[in-house]
Order: sequence, then C-alpha cells, then structure tokens
Amino acid sequence: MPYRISRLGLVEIRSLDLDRDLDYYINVLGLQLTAREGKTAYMKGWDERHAYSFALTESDRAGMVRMAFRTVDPEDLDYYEKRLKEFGVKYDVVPEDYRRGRALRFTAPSGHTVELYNEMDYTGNLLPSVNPAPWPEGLRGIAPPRLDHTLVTAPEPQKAIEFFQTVLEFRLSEMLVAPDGTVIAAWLWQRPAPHDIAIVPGKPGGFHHAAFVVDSADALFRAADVLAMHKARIDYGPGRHGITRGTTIYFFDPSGNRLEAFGGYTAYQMDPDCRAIRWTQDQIGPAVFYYSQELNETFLSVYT
Amino acid sequence: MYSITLSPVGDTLPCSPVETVLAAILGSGASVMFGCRGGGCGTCKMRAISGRVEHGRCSAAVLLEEEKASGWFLSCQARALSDLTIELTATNKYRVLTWGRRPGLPDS
Repeated sequence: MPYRISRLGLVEIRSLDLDRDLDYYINVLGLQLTAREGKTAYMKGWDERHAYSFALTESDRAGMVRMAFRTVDPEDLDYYEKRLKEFGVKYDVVPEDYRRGRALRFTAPSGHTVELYNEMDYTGNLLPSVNPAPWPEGLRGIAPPRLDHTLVTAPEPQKAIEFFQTVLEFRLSEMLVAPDGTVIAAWLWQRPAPHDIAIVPGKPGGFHHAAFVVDSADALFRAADVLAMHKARIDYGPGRHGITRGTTIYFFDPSGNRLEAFGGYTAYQMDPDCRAIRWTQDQIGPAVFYYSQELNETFLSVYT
Repeated sequence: MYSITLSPVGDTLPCSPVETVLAAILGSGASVMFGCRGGGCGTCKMRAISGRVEHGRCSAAVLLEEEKASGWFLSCQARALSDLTIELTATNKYRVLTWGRRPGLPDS
C-alpha cells in the first residue's frame, strides 16, 4: 500500500482574541506570520515550504476548526474521492481556499472537520534554496521548524480510528488496549514517523493539542525556558512519552488551546510493514508520561 | 482591595481589582484545580454566592450566559468588583501549598 498522505498540512483553531494570541504565536511559540485575512491569521514554522500550516480564527470559544492532510500526488486526491464515495462518506469539494487548491472536506466519526488537498502555494522556507545555512538567524521564541501532528478526542474512539485506518488508509503505530481487547486510543501515521494524528476518548470534535517539532533535548529545555519567562501555562514537561518515545512539553495558548513541542525524531521511523505496538491499560501512566509514570488530571480532562 | 471568603473552608483572602480570582487564591499560598488559564477549558469554574465579578473573556462553550447569571465564573479570567463569597466544591480541589505564614491571612 503506497503512502498517499505526505503530512498533516494544516491545523486551524479558534482564538478568543486574535491580536493578543497572535503576539503569543509570533513571539513566544515563534511561528512565522504569513498573512492575516479578516478574522483569520495564517502561520507556519520557519522550515516549512508551503504558504501556511497553522491558522488561527477569532471566535467566541476555543477549540479546533479543522485539520487538513496534504496528499503526496495530485492523483491521490482523486483516489481518496473514490474511496469516500465507496464508503458512503458525505463530502464537499472545496474548489479553493486561501493560497490552496481543491480540497475534499468531510466530517470524521469523531466529529472533526477533515480536509484532504494537494496544491498549496510553494513559498519556500526562511533559508536560501542554494547553499543554505542549517537555520536562519533572527528567530523568536521557541521557533519550531514545523507542525508535526495533532491529537483529538472522540466519544467512540474505535469508530474514528477505524475510519482513519479503513477509509483514509492510515497505519497504526501504537495503541492503548483495554483488558477486554478494546482499543482505547490509537496513534496513526502515513509519513514514516510515529504519528500524524492520534485519537483518544473525549467529547466529539475535541481538540487536545497540536504539536510542533523541536529537534533536540537542548531545544526542548529552551522551549520550557521561553514559556516560563513569558509566564505561559505549562501543562506537563519537559518529559518523555512511552508511546512514540518522543520528548515533550505541553503548554497552553492564551485562549486555552493546548500545544506541544515534540522531540519527534528522538522517536523512531516506521517501515511500511511495521506492526503496531500495544500498551496495556494498566501501563497508561508510563505510556503517556514515561518519567512520572502516571497521568495528570489536566491531561485527561482539560481540552478545548 | 476586596476580600474573598471561601466557603465552607472559611479562609478570607485579599483580592485586588486588577488580579484574577485565581491569581488571588494562588497568591495566598493555596491552590485550586485549574487548566489552561486562558478562559478556554472551564476547569477553574467557580460560583460566587455573594458579590459581583467582571467575567473577562471566556469561551461561550464552557461558561453559558445563564451560568453567569447564577454566579458562575472562570476564576482564571474573573476579577472581583466587590467582596466575594465563593462556594467551593470538591471539583475545585482547594488546598494550601506554602511554607510559613500565608500572605494576607491572619495567623492560624
């Protein structure tokens, strides 16, 4: 089965105050603002080559608006359109969006708006394309190079997990399993990393977090310093996950949406035939927070 | 400066009109359950049985208008507009977390 999705291309979330939150996203998280159109701001990490990967829209509540996955090839969009029809999934064709081409938009069984697209303006990263330095000078805040993954909640996680596996052909990297064999939560991938999306139990359409890459332990501790200096609310970390082996720090934006700086590539890479790792429910503590070996209450109950 | 009385614990803390109710509680050497601290998640919700607050900017999904009318507020956003009596519940998980004499409180 070929890979047909190259990445989580876009997460759009809601902000209670766009001016206030943009200051945070630019100066504390350290994303690059690429455009502001009315009530929506478009951003990306410094190493992302397309026009944007993260959008923030002013609203009366926090939480997720949509997630979008970019296909590897344009033809993969046609392939997925056929599959959506085959499985009787209702979808809309969105002819174009800001600096983006045609997309398929549908609601996953978890209640989330999901889009698939291929074309987005290629605007380049912050480095020259000829003889580049390893990183650009003048970055602010945590300055993650790119968006990595998202974790969302679903009232019936098994249904949502099955949808991503069956209809969208995501592969399972890890799962948390109840004693009776029921899958409680799952980590799903298409690019050869531990996950592009994870699904855990919770309310329909719930947004648990979006994660950005930090590429070393040093960068992770620096992220913690930056957050504390700006009196941002850190939820957990710096720490490590049992699941994915990624190093982590969780924190909140000023509207209460959870974000993560994820040391994803301390984690493994997947081969196409890798079999899923199972975590038993009695080991949920180290599965999620390897060092403290227990979940914290906010991680379970606090999301938007 | 206003005062906040926490029922049924009985502690009375000072609260300046410019700080949030949550900040006043944390500043007194105690803690309560809170989450995002951004008005988005609703974990720090409390109810005032007397007094008035300025609610600040809260997610309409976690603090409804009718809840506001019956005294509920998000402590991470709300500022006191008068002396307050707050009815703590088990969910609020009020506990004292400090060394020494608690700032603003009489010796116990």
